[in-house]
Amino acid sequence: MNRRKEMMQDFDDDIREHIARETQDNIDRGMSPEEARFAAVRKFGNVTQVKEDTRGVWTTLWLEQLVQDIRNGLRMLRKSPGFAAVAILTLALGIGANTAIFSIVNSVVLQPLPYSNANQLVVVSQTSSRVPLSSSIQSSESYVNILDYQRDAKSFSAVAGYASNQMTLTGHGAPTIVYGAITSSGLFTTLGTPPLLGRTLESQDDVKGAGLVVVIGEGFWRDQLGADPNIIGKSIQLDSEPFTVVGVMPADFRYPDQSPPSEFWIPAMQSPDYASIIGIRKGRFLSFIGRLKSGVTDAQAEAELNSLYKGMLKQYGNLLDPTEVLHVSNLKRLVVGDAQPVLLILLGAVGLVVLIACANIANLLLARATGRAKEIAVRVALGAGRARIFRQLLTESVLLGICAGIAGLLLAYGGVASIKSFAAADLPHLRDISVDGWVLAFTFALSIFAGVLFGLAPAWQSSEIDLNEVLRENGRGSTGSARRRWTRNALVVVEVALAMILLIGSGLLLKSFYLLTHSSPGFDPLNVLVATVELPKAQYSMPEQWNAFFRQAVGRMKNLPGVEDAAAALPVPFTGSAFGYGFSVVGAPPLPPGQSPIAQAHDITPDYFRVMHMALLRGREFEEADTAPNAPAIVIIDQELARRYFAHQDPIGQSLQISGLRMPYNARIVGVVGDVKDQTMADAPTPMMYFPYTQEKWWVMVFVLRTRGNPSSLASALQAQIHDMDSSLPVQDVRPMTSFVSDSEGDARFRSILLGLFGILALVLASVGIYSVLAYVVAQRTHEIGIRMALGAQPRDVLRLVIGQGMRAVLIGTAIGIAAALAVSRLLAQFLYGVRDKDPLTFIAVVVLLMLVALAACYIPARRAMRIDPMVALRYE
Amino acid sequence: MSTKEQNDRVELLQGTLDMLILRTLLLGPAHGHAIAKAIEFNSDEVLQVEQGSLYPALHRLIRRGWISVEKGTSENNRRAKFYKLTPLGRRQLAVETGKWQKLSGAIAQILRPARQEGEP
Repeated sequence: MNRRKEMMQDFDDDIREHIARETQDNIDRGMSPEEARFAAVRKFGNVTQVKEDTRGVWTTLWLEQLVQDIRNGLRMLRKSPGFAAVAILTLALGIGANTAIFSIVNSVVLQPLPYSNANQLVVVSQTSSRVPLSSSIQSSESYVNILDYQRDAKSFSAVAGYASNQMTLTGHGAPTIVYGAITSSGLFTTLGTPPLLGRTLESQDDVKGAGLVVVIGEGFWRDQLGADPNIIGKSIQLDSEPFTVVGVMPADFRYPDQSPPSEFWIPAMQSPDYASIIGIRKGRFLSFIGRLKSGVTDAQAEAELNSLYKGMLKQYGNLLDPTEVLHVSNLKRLVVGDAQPVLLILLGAVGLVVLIACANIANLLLARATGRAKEIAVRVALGAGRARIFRQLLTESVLLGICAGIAGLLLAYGGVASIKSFAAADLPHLRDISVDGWVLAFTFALSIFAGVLFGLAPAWQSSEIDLNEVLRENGRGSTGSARRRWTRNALVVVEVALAMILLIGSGLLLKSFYLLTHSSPGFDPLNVLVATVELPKAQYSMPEQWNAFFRQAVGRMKNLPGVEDAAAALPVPFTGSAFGYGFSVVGAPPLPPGQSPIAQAHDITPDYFRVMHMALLRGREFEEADTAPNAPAIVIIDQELARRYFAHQDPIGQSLQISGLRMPYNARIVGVVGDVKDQTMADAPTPMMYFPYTQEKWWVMVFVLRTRGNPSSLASALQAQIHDMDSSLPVQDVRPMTSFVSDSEGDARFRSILLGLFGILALVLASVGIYSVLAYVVAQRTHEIGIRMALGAQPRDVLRLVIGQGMRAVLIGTAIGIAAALAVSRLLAQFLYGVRDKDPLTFIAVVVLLMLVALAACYIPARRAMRIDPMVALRYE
Repeated sequence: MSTKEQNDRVELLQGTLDMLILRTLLLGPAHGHAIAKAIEFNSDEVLQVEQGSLYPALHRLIRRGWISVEKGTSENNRRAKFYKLTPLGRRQLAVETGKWQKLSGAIAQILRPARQEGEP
């Protein structure tokens, strides 16, 4: 464009000059000046037209040149389809993987919350020196406290308390369980999502004695109620109570974000399940979120809540924990928190793959550039500007990049689909992940960037060609200039180093995944069927009914054909729920008030340990006699609790004081069982207590059946037994224990498989890189090797020569890679299980593997070099 | 383009004009007007350059990198632009001339009267 300006400058002067000269010629021929001028102007023609035509010559310059460059580039690619295919495929793999990972990062890290001004949303949590921090024991707030904060806290524009809840929907086909939440009315104001139909919950709904109302999710409305447009005002049966539907929320509103998704919200005050504890200070079972007023920081809100809490302590002292501290944390950070490091590591890994791919292609291009040196030299000699050549070569690279980008995008679609089916449900909003416009833009930016990146070195070198050198060499650029050789070796070094980092990373993860899946959870999950039954409070209001039901149900299960033994418990490991009770050792020196430790509690039927194949280390298991109505309170502890609190004495016969939701009571220890992993295979042992189910009464239990064959085949028999007892009872989550266990490994599996894939990719790419460089070098040195052999060099000398050259770069790369991996592997430390991040075995294994692959990559060209016939090589001039 | 004086002047095809300009510049750098004059003169005034079409042609050649521009002063001390051949243009001229000669040779071959028998 600026060229046009430059060329059209002074153009009027040129024309004036031209006409003046023509006029002068005409005068010389004897015309009168006037006539002469007229004739000259006429001869010249329409000045404006000429100017227009001339300017038009420059108008589409850059576009035409671009088209020309692209045509040239395509022709070059067509002329060497092998090169093009390798280059495009290599880069497409890199870009595809990168786009897939970026899609996930984009949905999970960059845009995780579908609420307006999501940055103002905060979660309030509590810590107390009484409660050792443990992921499985969630800190929670009582309903009355939240109402007090809602009234007094100035930092928040809205706050809400909610708890996950499930209810049974009847009257619409078979009884189905629906998942949702009980919530204070503030939830909708806090999140600020308008309803699809009707209204959201309001404060007048959330008082004792108000009518039963429910807001439902779009999914519920469509799937269960046929998307009835007149649903507002109709009533539906939830847990056999009539709830009036007042609103429908759009599908993207699904707070709390759980699996299965939340599909109903009822006022906390109307919840039959929690009616007994909703109004008390100690009934702490609600999660607490809020929206900060704009301009208020997390820290300010935190300070205010803590000072309000000090006030509450004065008022309700003995009902509250004096050591409690409230924390305000950004919801987005919390949601993203767990997933972020994994994703960033994957993004880094995939970035390395792209870099290796680029290095590879740079190498390929460099080798080609040497081959094309003559062509370029000729063009330079004929006056083609350096910039022009540079631009043409760059166009070729960018073209490659774009082709690869398109191919990569297709790969990414496949990748995202398979990652979705792979990753555990812990990745928030995984179901929203798609390759969207942003990702598309990212891919193309990446492919252009990659194109420029790997186009730069060769283009620069080519456009800097030393004419004399090339022409003197008769166009057969021997081994290229020293600098070019150096560049090629450097690229091999870089590739090897990058591959090393990736391989060590994936090696460590694979090893820890192996250890994880081959460690024992402390029970035998094979051939165990799991099923959950919850008794609706309406028909089963008395604890005696619950105990009777579960006793009878377990008895029926034991007699099923194909069942070895059966039991029931709450909770069962790996099924996702856990709760803890405070306890203290009776007779031990009293701890300061509020310092009592917490252990996880399990309420079980007598044969539970036998069914689960758990080790009874000392004492005895529970027996039927322990479940009699007035049996003394007893407890069985796990090895970890014994280790921590009974280090120097026999726990059997000692007593623990248990403080749950009820009044504290003493329970005598009758046995010690082995530790079990509770939620994931990576869990460290935690103190646990087991109680007879009749002692801590529950209306919900999880059945565990030890089967003789495939546990899934007994699912329908189990359901039939339950329905035989009460046909209105839904049976939930009927699955083999192994599927719960492998779900818990999902994340680890996902990480190791992906990183393993990247590692393999890196290995393949790096070996292709080493091979192609060496193959090229051998081709270049054919003549020289021929001379050596003619002068008596043996094939093995040639072998040593070629392999030596390749392996030197590989060794340097390996050394750099090890150093880098030592630094980088620390990032993986938190995902490793049973492996240190500097695990020497992994390092050695990776080095050996890489060396073998590199040797193989060197050996093929070296073999070719050995077979060189000196006569042919010398004639080849 | 106009034809003049009983068609004894030939219209110039674009490609031909380009080649003639290159040919002219083979002798040395020249001013636009001088190029037009030279083409007319060298072709015994058979080829009449529509002078207006000369400039787009010159610019086209500059764009292709076959000629370049130099600013200088003309014999009467006025600023003027001189056009000169680049190495690339020299090569192009060789190619074009070759083509031209092949073509005119072929035409001559066709138009040549058939040889009489016995003639050498």
